Amino acid sequence: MSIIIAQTKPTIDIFEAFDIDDYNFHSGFDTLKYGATGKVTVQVNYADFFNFLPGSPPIIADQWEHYKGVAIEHDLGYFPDFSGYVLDALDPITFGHNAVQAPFVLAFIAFGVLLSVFVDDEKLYFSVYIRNSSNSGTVDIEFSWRLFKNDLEL
Amino acid sequence: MFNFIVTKKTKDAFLDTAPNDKIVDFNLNTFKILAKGKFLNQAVNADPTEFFFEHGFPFIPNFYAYCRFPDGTVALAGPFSVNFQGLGTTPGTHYGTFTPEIDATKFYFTLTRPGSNYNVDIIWRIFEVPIPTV
Repeated sequence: MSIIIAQTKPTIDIFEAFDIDDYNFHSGFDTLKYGATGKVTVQVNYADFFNFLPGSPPIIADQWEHYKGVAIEHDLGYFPDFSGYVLDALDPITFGHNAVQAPFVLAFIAFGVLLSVFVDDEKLYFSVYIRNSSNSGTVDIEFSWRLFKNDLEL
Repeated sequence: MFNFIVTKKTKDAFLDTAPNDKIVDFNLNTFKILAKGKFLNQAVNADPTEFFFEHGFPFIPNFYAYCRFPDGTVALAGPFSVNFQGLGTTPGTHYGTFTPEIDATKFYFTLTRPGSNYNVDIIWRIFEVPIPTV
């Protein structure tokens, strides 16, 4: 027989509680516990590109494809639950709001972007793909991340 | 009103008010995980490919879903490039999407196939609170 440790909210009778949200905690249920959080900036130099897509100016401009990735070590030794957001660095591409959940994609005829956050059992990764009509200058893409202690058990 | 608070070591129950300073606070709900699971080595061999299961809850619950791609990395729902994450490699020119959906009976996972067939692991969590739908 297992022992359950539970604590209900004020006015809720622990022997009559039936809704899980009536409990402040209940040993029968896991919760999402978070450990670390932070921000990472990925700078893309438009002079660096991996592909050139000739257009037909002046209707469609020449385009260049850029890619940059950054990784940070989390040292957990397992695949953790996580979340990732892109902050307003690409405003108004991210619709002018402060944070958008990653991965994020947006593509037009002469512009495309894929912003991703992902993990493995060692690192948290941030990648930026941009297709635009620039081959000079830079852009800073700022990511916000949160790691949970929970193990995805992979 | 009576309240009960247990703080972490070095934190003061009367002065430290950040939710993460506390282990328990009667006034704060926690995000309880009602159920979790995974589907390993699922083949994406059609465009799109859908997996689903009956979640058994009498409401439309909050959820998280992750996908592990062939390169071994794990991402949340959304778009991915044709050669997956591949940090340090250049992405492909086609995109796929990993889309989890839920209703009052089933939890669905849909993946598009931008290139050739591939296999994925899908990991999911269901939380205790319903998604407000009205």
